[in-house]
Amino acid sequence: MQFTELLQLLFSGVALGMIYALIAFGYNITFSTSRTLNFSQGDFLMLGAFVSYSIIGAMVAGKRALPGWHIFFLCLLGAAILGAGLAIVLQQVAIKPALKTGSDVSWILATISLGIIAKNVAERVWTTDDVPVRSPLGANAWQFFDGKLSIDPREFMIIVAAGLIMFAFEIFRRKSMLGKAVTAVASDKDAASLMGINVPVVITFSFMVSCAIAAMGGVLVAPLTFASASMGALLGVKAYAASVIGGLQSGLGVVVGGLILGMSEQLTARFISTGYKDTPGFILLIIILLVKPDGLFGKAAVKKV
Amino acid sequence: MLEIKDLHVSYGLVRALQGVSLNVPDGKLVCVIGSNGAGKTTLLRSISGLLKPSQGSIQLAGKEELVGRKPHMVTRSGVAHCPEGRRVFPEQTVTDNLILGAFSTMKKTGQAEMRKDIQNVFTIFPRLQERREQQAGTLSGGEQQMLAIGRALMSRPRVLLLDEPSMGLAPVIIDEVFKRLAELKERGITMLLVEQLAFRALGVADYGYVIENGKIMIEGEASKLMNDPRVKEAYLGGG
Ligand SMILES: Nc1ncnc2c1ncn2[C@@H]1O[C@H](COP(=O)(O)OP(=O)(O)OP(=O)(O)O)[C@@H](O)[C@H]1O
Ligand SMILES: [Mg+2]
Repeated sequence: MQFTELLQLLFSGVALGMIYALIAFGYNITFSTSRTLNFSQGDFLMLGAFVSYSIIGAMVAGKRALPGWHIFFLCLLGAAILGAGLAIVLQQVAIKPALKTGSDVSWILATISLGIIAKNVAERVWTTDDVPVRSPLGANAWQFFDGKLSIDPREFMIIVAAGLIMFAFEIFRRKSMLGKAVTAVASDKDAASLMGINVPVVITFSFMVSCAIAAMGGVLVAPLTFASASMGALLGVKAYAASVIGGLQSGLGVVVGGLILGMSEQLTARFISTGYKDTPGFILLIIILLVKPDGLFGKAAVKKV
Repeated sequence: MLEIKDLHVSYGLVRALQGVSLNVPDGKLVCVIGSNGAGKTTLLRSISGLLKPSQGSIQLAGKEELVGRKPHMVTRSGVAHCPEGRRVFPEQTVTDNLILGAFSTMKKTGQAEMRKDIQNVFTIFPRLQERREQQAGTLSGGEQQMLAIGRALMSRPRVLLLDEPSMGLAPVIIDEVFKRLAELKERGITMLLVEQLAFRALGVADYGYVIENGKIMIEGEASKLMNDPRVKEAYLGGG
């Protein structure tokens, strides 16, 4: 095994990890504001993938031509808008009533059910098949060091774009008034409302951002994995595992958790067996749940009266 | 400025306020004193919309009814509530806490005015300026109290509600807090202060009410209440 091969494996692991991280980042946002999360986040990713499939199909002539960057950004925008719009529906029908009753079971089941509905609708609206989605960077590997190191441009795109999306949200959270309000609602709802912040609106907003981010993840991942109605479920579960490993309470934690999971999958697949690729990550998950239930970066939630 | 009439509030079967009436005139500092569990916090939380009274009215400036308004709308009408236990946003910086205080007024007043207001708060509480980039959760209790008051001032309130600003603070720090309250009064800010430390509160207030078991028992000019034998007896040594 050569060093360059290891590098390539790690690169693929980081790319996969960034997808988990992106979904988990969304879990973190809504969990911080409402102590609930959208278990159908993976299906929002799937919808984003199909949105880009449709936009590219409609706007790029020829079956082979690569979509231009403006088309790519249009895909991201379309996915984000659909994600944010559906998030309002999700929040109104699944989360809000559940928060009133105070029952955890109801929002968990309600968000899972909406995910199943989304999958069925996608099968009807689009297809039950796996369909290819073109990337603006193409699919031909980039060769370095006389072909010893080859980098998949679609993975490169995932890493860069997912990183930028999360970075942009962090800047927004720190610098803008609305972003500061999101953090304030996350730490103390009563105090936030005394600032004149409309807390339910901010919670809805956090769901819109979270679902928009997941849908944009679909645009990024589709060129690599194809778009399919069933692509979301497993990604959503693994991203949840990633966020538990890193700590659902910590934005940085969920990203690290995603990267750990992604790399462990790639390394296991190469050195042990593809059949066992998910095993180490889930063993780690179980260990974390036993010894550090708040996750690697979890702060024991500060109880506020 | 603020007129409360026959306010009733219950937590289930616990009747926390039973017909409270009081008046906070423009530019005055009014205090409500009472011991643990008398209903002071309940009173302020009802004014700011965090609790729903079962009966009674709360009028702002003689025309706006606050009962039934959501807390963020009460804040937007010009009532700032500096809550019990300070409740600063611990993970955000001192400056961010102040900026959040201006959430309801920023759109109207704009960025430049907000910066001016922050400077203004720093003039009143110089210690906050030194710590402006520090996370609020790392401030001392006294500094957090100053921040909570400063944050409430950021919305340029018509009435400032203060819930036990002395809570959990050392006597010298309490002295400082009350000195600042006296300065705010000089600036003409209308305040409703609830306190356990009866004599400290009466020392800065214009007018006082004594609350017991959710009912106003005594009221009068602050200077008169200080010498009232019933107050002296109930709060002997209280501040
Ligand atoms: N959430 C609640 N549920 C039930 N009863 C409550 C609740 N909050 C307060 N009470 C009761 O209402 C009454 C008034 O409480 P409140 O907190 O207003 O008192 P307080 O005067 O602010 O006391 P302190 O000086 O200790 O802060 C008390 O008898 C208290 O036990
Ligand atoms: Mg109290």
